[in-house]
Amino acid sequence: MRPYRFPFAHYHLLDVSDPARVRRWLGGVAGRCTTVAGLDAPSSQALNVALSWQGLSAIGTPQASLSSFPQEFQQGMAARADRLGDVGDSAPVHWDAPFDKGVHMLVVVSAMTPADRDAASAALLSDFRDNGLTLADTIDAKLLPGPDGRPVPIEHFGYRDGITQPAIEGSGEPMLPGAGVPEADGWRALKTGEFVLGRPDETGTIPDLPSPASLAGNGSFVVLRKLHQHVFAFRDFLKRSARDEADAALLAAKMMGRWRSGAPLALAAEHDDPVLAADAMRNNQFTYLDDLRGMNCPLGAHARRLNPRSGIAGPNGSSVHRHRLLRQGLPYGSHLPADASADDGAARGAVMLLVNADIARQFEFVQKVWINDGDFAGLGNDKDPMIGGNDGSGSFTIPRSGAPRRRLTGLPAFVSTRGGEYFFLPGIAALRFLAETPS
Amino acid sequence: MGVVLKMGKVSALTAITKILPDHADALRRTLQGLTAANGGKIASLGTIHIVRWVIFDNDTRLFFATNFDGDVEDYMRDFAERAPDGIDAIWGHCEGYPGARDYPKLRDYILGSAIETTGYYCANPDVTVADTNKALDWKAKFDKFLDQIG
Repeated sequence: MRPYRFPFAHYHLLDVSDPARVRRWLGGVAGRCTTVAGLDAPSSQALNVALSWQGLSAIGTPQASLSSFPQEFQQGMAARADRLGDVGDSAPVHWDAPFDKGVHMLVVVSAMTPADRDAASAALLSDFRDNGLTLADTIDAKLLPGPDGRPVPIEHFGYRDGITQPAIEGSGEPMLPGAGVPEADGWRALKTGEFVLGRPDETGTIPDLPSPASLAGNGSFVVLRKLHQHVFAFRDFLKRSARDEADAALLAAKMMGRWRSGAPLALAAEHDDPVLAADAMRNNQFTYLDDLRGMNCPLGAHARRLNPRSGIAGPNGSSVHRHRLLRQGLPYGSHLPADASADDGAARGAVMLLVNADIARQFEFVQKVWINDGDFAGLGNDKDPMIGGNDGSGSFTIPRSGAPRRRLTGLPAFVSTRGGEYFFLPGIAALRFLAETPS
Repeated sequence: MGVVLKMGKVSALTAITKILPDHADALRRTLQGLTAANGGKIASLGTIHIVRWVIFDNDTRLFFATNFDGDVEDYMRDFAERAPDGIDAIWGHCEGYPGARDYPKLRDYILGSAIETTGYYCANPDVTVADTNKALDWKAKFDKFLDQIG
């Protein structure tokens, strides 16, 4: 298991109509799913298959196994809405189909070119039909085009994306500074068990697995979030809150924790530094230990909330590395032109796939405590200014040295949840195991 | 979680467990030591307002009542990982205790022995421990400032 990134993807959402045929299909597709070994060779595409708890149930997984999965996975994301802050405009009743009713299976097709992706998906679609799977929806996701039309890793709000990934032991990936756990003599990778079931985690032990081990071992949980981005509202808020264009760029950086180039405030507090941003050996190498009060990077900035490194002294300060997520994701929808004078009403945002071994401890904790609360960092009612569930009365505090803190008020939500589900990502051997399960 | 009462930002939890035969004296010494040490690692969590333990019923039962910020599960796991020995040193003297190193079992044990709160009052339910510490810090600094200009 390791993070990888393709510029084009289809997220196929499927329901099971013929359990026996679907199980057989899972066994057959096992050999085509992307494995760590497969990623060692330069690959032009990838295929991943994951099942919700409803999906595991629909293919006839025995009850004893179903009830051994964690409670939050059994309930599914919609049932956890209150805890996740998916209320109001983000409530499950407003979610896009098929998430409003639930979905059984996620099949992700990733590729380097649209042609490769479309060809792989076309072949799969007839496969689905022949194997007892009903396609509920396909989300078309891809990097947005840059000025020259070529795809660039920049999300809808205009920020460079995908800089930080947790380094994972045994992934075989080169360890970039800043990617793992900061220690006195440098950085170390996180234990595999934070992301893969059946391996030792950061406590040094192997947590209990769902049963049987042949199904759960080497598997993981994938949290899918379909997040609509209110791009015009975000730009408009910056314009209204800032004194001038340079100030708008500074506020945008303070809210994110990085300049739009990707340069971190921790290393570039006053001015953007595109050269630093482009240097993978430097652009992530910091801990916030020298900035515990948030003078450079506010404690409430999005990137600092999601990955506080060594920079929380308060509640759960020493446990930050038990709440890490492996992130993949791509934008969907079209880029809102820079000169747009109003919201065009179009659907646009990001599909996020968050991989973790323990949904409650990792994803749900991050969503509830780090994104939708401020108390963990002494920030009172402040929520994440970028993706927190603000309601028009949100606030964001920017500490300054030599001057009183600056506070932005009246924050609306710049992101609304449009769907999501908890999926189990079986290992290759588990896919074969499912195929062999008798009806 | 029905057994945890939440008012504003503060939650209240009360649990009663059975003390193992002949363990009450050791438990009493542990709790007295913890009191003398000002709570030990409890303060490091930064979310716990008050904890009270009472050995009662002729040394056969332990009463545990606490007020803390946030929801019960937000930090219980982090605390269990940070101070498992401290938790073991207390509830290790009680019947059915699974140990602090298996979080799901610990959670089920504590919540399973919790009893519903019948009445409750909190003067400042929207003020967290962090808020209090910050306010006191500011007040100290402001007093110092007034001292200096006076």
